[in-house]
Amino acid sequence: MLRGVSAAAILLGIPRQSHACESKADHGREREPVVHSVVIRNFAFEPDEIHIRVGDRVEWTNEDIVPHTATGSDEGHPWDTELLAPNQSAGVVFPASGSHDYFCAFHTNMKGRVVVQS
Amino acid sequence: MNRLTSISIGIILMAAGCATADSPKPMNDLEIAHTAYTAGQLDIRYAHLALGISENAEVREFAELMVRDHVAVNDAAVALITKLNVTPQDNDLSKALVSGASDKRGELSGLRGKAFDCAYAQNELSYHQIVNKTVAETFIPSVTVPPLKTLLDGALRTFKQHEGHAEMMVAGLQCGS
Repeated sequence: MLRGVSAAAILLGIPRQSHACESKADHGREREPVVHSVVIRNFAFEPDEIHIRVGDRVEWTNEDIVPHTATGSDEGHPWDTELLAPNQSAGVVFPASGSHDYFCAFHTNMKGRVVVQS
Repeated sequence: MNRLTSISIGIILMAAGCATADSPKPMNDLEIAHTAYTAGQLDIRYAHLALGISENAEVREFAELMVRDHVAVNDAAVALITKLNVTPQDNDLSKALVSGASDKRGELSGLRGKAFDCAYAQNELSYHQIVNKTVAETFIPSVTVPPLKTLLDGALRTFKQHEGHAEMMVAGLQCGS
Protein backbone atom coordinates (compact mmCIF):
# COMPACT_ATOMS: atom_id res chain seq x y z
CA MET A 1 0.00 0.00 0.00
CA LEU A 2 2.66 2.46 1.00
CA ARG A 3 4.93 2.11 -1.95
CA GLY A 4 8.38 3.51 -2.32
CA VAL A 5 8.80 6.75 -4.14
CA SER A 6 10.12 6.38 -7.67
CA ALA A 7 12.25 8.75 -9.66
CA ALA A 8 9.04 10.15 -11.14
CA ALA A 9 8.18 11.95 -7.95
CA ILE A 10 10.58 12.67 -5.15
CA LEU A 11 9.88 13.63 -1.57
CA LEU A 12 12.17 16.56 -0.99
CA GLY A 13 12.50 19.43 1.39
CA ILE A 14 12.50 22.26 -1.09
CA PRO A 15 12.17 25.59 0.72
CA ARG A 16 8.60 26.79 0.96
CA GLN A 17 7.58 29.60 -1.34
CA SER A 18 4.41 31.39 -2.37
CA HIS A 19 1.29 29.21 -2.50
CA ALA A 20 -0.86 31.60 -4.42
CA CYS A 21 0.69 31.64 -7.84
CA GLU A 22 3.77 30.85 -9.80
CA SER A 23 6.36 33.48 -10.51
CA LYS A 24 6.88 34.16 -14.16
CA ALA A 25 10.17 32.77 -15.43
CA ASP A 26 12.64 35.32 -16.62
CA HIS A 27 14.18 34.76 -20.03
CA GLY A 28 17.49 32.98 -19.69
CA ARG A 29 16.96 32.21 -16.04
CA GLU A 30 15.84 28.92 -14.60
CA ARG A 31 12.41 29.12 -12.98
CA GLU A 32 12.33 28.60 -9.23
CA PRO A 33 10.13 25.69 -8.14
CA VAL A 34 6.92 26.60 -6.32
CA VAL A 35 5.27 24.85 -3.39
CA HIS A 36 1.52 24.28 -3.75
CA SER A 37 -0.62 23.37 -0.75
CA VAL A 38 -3.44 20.84 -0.60
CA VAL A 39 -5.37 20.53 2.64
CA ILE A 40 -6.95 17.26 3.68
CA ARG A 41 -10.11 18.18 5.53
CA ASN A 42 -13.40 16.38 6.19
CA PHE A 43 -12.24 13.37 4.18
CA ALA A 44 -11.55 15.37 1.04
CA PHE A 45 -8.58 16.92 -0.75
CA GLU A 46 -8.92 20.72 -1.05
CA PRO A 47 -8.53 21.56 -3.87
CA ASP A 48 -9.20 18.18 -5.39
CA GLU A 49 -7.42 19.20 -8.61
CA ILE A 50 -4.29 21.30 -8.74
CA HIS A 51 -2.28 22.57 -11.74
CA ILE A 52 1.46 22.97 -11.33
CA ARG A 53 4.60 23.31 -13.42
CA VAL A 54 7.35 20.74 -13.89
CA GLY A 55 9.65 20.70 -10.87
CA ASP A 56 7.08 22.15 -8.48
CA ARG A 57 6.28 20.54 -5.18
CA VAL A 58 2.83 19.71 -3.84
CA GLU A 59 2.50 19.62 -0.09
CA TRP A 60 -0.42 17.87 1.61
CA THR A 61 -1.42 18.79 5.17
CA ASN A 62 -3.78 16.56 7.11
CA GLU A 63 -6.27 18.59 9.14
CA ASP A 64 -8.50 15.61 9.95
CA ILE A 65 -8.32 13.70 13.21
CA VAL A 66 -7.40 10.41 11.52
CA PRO A 67 -4.43 9.47 9.30
CA HIS A 68 -4.58 9.80 5.53
CA THR A 69 -2.25 9.42 2.55
CA ALA A 70 -1.93 10.94 -0.90
CA THR A 71 -1.05 7.95 -3.05
CA GLY A 72 -0.56 8.04 -6.82
CA SER A 73 -2.81 5.80 -8.89
CA ASP A 74 -0.39 5.40 -11.80
CA GLU A 75 1.25 2.00 -11.45
CA GLY A 76 4.04 3.00 -13.80
CA HIS A 77 5.06 6.03 -11.75
CA PRO A 78 4.35 5.26 -8.11
CA TRP A 79 4.47 8.07 -5.59
CA ASP A 80 3.17 8.32 -2.06
CA THR A 81 3.27 10.71 0.86
CA GLU A 82 2.95 7.64 3.09
CA LEU A 83 1.01 8.01 6.31
CA LEU A 84 0.10 11.56 7.26
CA ALA A 85 -0.85 11.75 10.92
CA PRO A 86 -3.21 14.53 12.06
CA ASN A 87 -1.57 17.94 11.53
CA GLN A 88 1.33 16.37 9.64
CA SER A 89 2.51 17.50 6.20
CA ALA A 90 4.49 15.86 3.41
CA GLY A 91 5.36 16.88 -0.11
CA VAL A 92 6.09 15.35 -3.48
CA VAL A 93 8.07 16.93 -6.33
CA PHE A 94 6.80 16.25 -9.84
CA PRO A 95 9.72 16.35 -12.31
CA ALA A 96 7.79 15.51 -15.50
CA SER A 97 4.62 16.71 -17.16
CA GLY A 98 1.45 14.67 -17.05
CA SER A 99 -1.80 14.15 -15.18
CA HIS A 100 -1.55 12.21 -11.93
CA ASP A 101 -4.65 10.86 -10.22
CA TYR A 102 -4.27 9.98 -6.59
CA PHE A 103 -6.30 8.77 -3.63
CA CYS A 104 -6.10 8.12 0.10
CA ALA A 105 -4.87 4.56 0.56
CA PHE A 106 -6.92 4.28 3.77
CA HIS A 107 -10.15 5.89 2.60
CA THR A 108 -10.21 5.06 -1.09
CA ASN A 109 -13.24 7.20 -1.91
CA MET A 110 -11.02 10.26 -1.36
CA LYS A 111 -9.60 11.21 -4.75
CA GLY A 112 -7.57 14.04 -6.26
CA ARG A 113 -5.50 14.99 -9.30
CA VAL A 114 -2.23 16.80 -9.93
CA VAL A 115 -1.85 18.18 -13.45
CA VAL A 116 1.79 18.95 -14.27
CA GLN A 117 2.43 21.30 -17.15
CA SER A 118 5.77 21.91 -18.83
CA MET B 1 -24.18 -9.31 20.30
CA ASN B 2 -27.00 -11.20 18.63
CA ARG B 3 -29.68 -9.26 16.83
CA LEU B 4 -31.72 -8.87 19.99
CA THR B 5 -28.71 -7.59 21.89
CA SER B 6 -27.96 -5.19 19.06
CA ILE B 7 -31.51 -3.88 19.10
CA SER B 8 -31.44 -3.56 22.88
CA ILE B 9 -28.29 -1.49 22.81
CA GLY B 10 -29.81 0.57 20.03
CA ILE B 11 -32.82 1.33 22.16
CA ILE B 12 -30.59 2.25 25.10
CA LEU B 13 -28.47 4.47 22.87
CA MET B 14 -31.53 6.19 21.44
CA ALA B 15 -32.85 6.85 24.92
CA ALA B 16 -29.52 8.18 26.16
CA GLY B 17 -30.36 11.84 25.99
CA CYS B 18 -34.12 11.75 26.37
CA ALA B 19 -35.17 12.43 29.92
CA THR B 20 -38.74 11.82 30.95
CA ALA B 21 -40.40 11.40 34.30
CA ASP B 22 -39.84 7.66 33.99
CA SER B 23 -36.37 7.59 32.45
CA PRO B 24 -32.88 8.47 33.63
CA LYS B 25 -31.63 12.04 33.35
CA PRO B 26 -29.77 13.01 30.15
CA MET B 27 -26.10 12.16 29.99
CA ASN B 28 -23.64 14.88 30.90
CA ASP B 29 -20.52 15.80 28.94
CA LEU B 30 -18.27 13.47 30.92
CA GLU B 31 -20.62 10.52 30.44
CA ILE B 32 -20.89 11.24 26.73
CA ALA B 33 -17.10 11.42 26.46
CA HIS B 34 -16.73 8.12 28.28
CA THR B 35 -19.34 6.42 26.11
CA ALA B 36 -17.88 7.67 22.83
CA TYR B 37 -14.40 6.56 23.90
CA THR B 38 -15.75 3.16 24.98
CA ALA B 39 -17.53 2.66 21.66
CA GLY B 40 -14.24 3.28 19.85
CA GLN B 41 -12.31 0.91 22.10
CA LEU B 42 -14.86 -1.83 21.54
CA ASP B 43 -14.63 -1.49 17.78
CA ILE B 44 -10.83 -1.74 18.05
CA ARG B 45 -11.29 -5.03 19.92
CA TYR B 46 -13.62 -6.31 17.21
CA ALA B 47 -10.97 -5.38 14.67
CA HIS B 48 -8.21 -7.22 16.50
CA LEU B 49 -10.44 -10.27 16.61
CA ALA B 50 -10.97 -10.01 12.86
CA LEU B 51 -7.25 -9.68 12.26
CA GLY B 52 -6.72 -12.84 14.29
CA ILE B 53 -9.34 -14.91 12.50
CA SER B 54 -10.15 -13.62 9.03
CA GLU B 55 -8.12 -14.51 5.96
CA ASN B 56 -10.20 -12.30 3.68
CA ALA B 57 -8.12 -9.40 2.36
CA GLU B 58 -11.04 -6.95 2.26
CA VAL B 59 -12.10 -7.79 5.80
CA ARG B 60 -8.54 -7.50 7.09
CA GLU B 61 -8.08 -4.14 5.34
CA PHE B 62 -11.27 -2.86 6.95
CA ALA B 63 -10.16 -4.12 10.37
CA GLU B 64 -6.81 -2.37 9.97
CA LEU B 65 -8.68 0.82 9.10
CA MET B 66 -10.82 0.48 12.22
CA VAL B 67 -7.73 0.13 14.41
CA ARG B 68 -5.95 3.06 12.77
CA ASP B 69 -8.91 5.46 12.79
CA HIS B 70 -10.40 4.62 16.17
CA VAL B 71 -7.00 4.79 17.84
CA ALA B 72 -6.51 8.24 16.29
CA VAL B 73 -9.94 9.48 17.41
CA ASN B 74 -9.47 8.13 20.92
CA ASP B 75 -5.98 9.62 21.10
CA ALA B 76 -7.57 12.97 20.29
CA ALA B 77 -10.16 12.36 23.02
CA VAL B 78 -7.46 11.58 25.57
CA ALA B 79 -5.56 14.72 24.57
CA LEU B 80 -8.72 16.78 25.05
CA ILE B 81 -9.64 15.39 28.47
CA THR B 82 -6.04 15.83 29.57
CA LYS B 83 -6.12 19.44 28.43
CA LEU B 84 -9.45 20.05 30.15
CA ASN B 85 -8.22 18.21 33.26
CA VAL B 86 -11.44 16.24 33.65
CA THR B 87 -12.27 12.57 34.18
CA PRO B 88 -14.85 10.87 31.94
CA GLN B 89 -17.59 9.10 33.86
CA ASP B 90 -18.58 5.50 33.45
CA ASN B 91 -22.33 5.12 33.09
CA ASP B 92 -25.12 2.67 32.30
CA LEU B 93 -24.76 3.12 28.57
CA SER B 94 -21.01 2.49 28.61
CA LYS B 95 -21.62 -0.61 30.69
CA ALA B 96 -24.33 -1.84 28.33
CA LEU B 97 -21.99 -1.36 25.37
CA VAL B 98 -19.21 -3.30 27.07
CA SER B 99 -21.54 -6.13 28.05
CA GLY B 100 -23.10 -6.37 24.59
CA ALA B 101 -19.72 -6.33 22.88
CA SER B 102 -18.45 -9.10 25.15
CA ASP B 103 -21.35 -11.28 24.11
CA LYS B 104 -20.76 -10.50 20.46
CA ARG B 105 -17.04 -11.25 20.65
CA GLY B 106 -17.90 -14.61 22.18
CA GLU B 107 -20.24 -15.33 19.30
CA LEU B 108 -17.72 -14.21 16.66
CA SER B 109 -14.87 -16.17 18.23
CA GLY B 110 -16.61 -19.44 17.43
CA LEU B 111 -16.91 -18.69 13.73
CA ARG B 112 -14.44 -19.26 10.91
CA GLY B 113 -14.16 -18.52 7.21
CA LYS B 114 -17.02 -16.82 5.41
CA ALA B 115 -19.30 -17.27 8.41
CA PHE B 116 -16.96 -15.13 10.49
CA ASP B 117 -16.40 -12.57 7.74
CA CYS B 118 -20.11 -12.07 7.18
CA ALA B 119 -20.93 -11.88 10.89
CA TYR B 120 -18.11 -9.39 11.51
CA ALA B 121 -19.03 -7.25 8.50
CA GLN B 122 -22.73 -7.18 9.38
CA ASN B 123 -21.93 -6.31 12.98
CA GLU B 124 -19.65 -3.48 11.87
CA LEU B 125 -22.43 -2.08 9.71
CA SER B 126 -25.12 -2.25 12.39
CA TYR B 127 -22.73 -1.04 15.10
CA HIS B 128 -21.75 2.04 13.12
CA GLN B 129 -25.34 2.74 12.14
CA ILE B 130 -26.43 2.74 15.77
CA VAL B 131 -23.43 4.67 17.07
CA ASN B 132 -23.66 7.28 14.31
CA LYS B 133 -27.33 7.89 14.92
CA THR B 134 -26.68 8.29 18.62
CA VAL B 135 -23.71 10.62 18.18
CA ALA B 136 -25.59 12.77 15.64
CA GLU B 137 -28.98 12.94 17.31
CA THR B 138 -28.16 12.70 21.00
CA PHE B 139 -24.53 13.31 21.88
CA ILE B 140 -23.70 16.30 19.68
CA PRO B 141 -26.91 18.22 20.51
CA SER B 142 -26.38 17.53 24.22
CA VAL B 143 -22.73 18.42 24.81
CA THR B 144 -22.00 21.82 26.30
CA VAL B 145 -18.21 22.08 25.95
CA PRO B 146 -17.31 23.41 22.47
CA PRO B 147 -14.05 21.41 22.06
CA LEU B 148 -15.92 18.19 22.84
CA LYS B 149 -18.55 19.07 20.27
CA THR B 150 -15.80 19.72 17.71
CA LEU B 151 -14.23 16.36 18.51
CA LEU B 152 -17.57 14.56 18.19
CA ASP B 153 -18.20 16.31 14.86
CA GLY B 154 -14.87 14.98 13.57
CA ALA B 155 -15.53 11.55 15.01
CA LEU B 156 -18.95 11.42 13.38
CA ARG B 157 -17.47 12.28 9.96
CA THR B 158 -15.00 9.45 10.48
CA PHE B 159 -17.58 6.94 11.63
CA LYS B 160 -19.87 7.77 8.70
CA GLN B 161 -16.99 6.87 6.39
CA HIS B 162 -16.73 3.58 8.24
CA GLU B 163 -20.44 2.95 7.90
CA GLY B 164 -20.24 3.46 4.14
CA HIS B 165 -17.19 1.23 3.93
CA ALA B 166 -18.90 -1.47 6.00
CA GLU B 167 -21.93 -1.31 3.75
CA MET B 168 -19.72 -1.98 0.72
CA MET B 169 -17.93 -4.78 2.58
CA VAL B 170 -21.22 -6.51 3.40
CA ALA B 171 -22.33 -6.22 -0.22
CA GLY B 172 -18.97 -7.44 -1.52
CA LEU B 173 -18.95 -10.52 0.67
CA GLN B 174 -22.30 -11.66 -0.82
CA CYS B 175 -23.31 -13.15 2.48
CA GLY B 176 -26.84 -13.86 1.36
CA SER B 177 -25.75 -16.15 -1.47
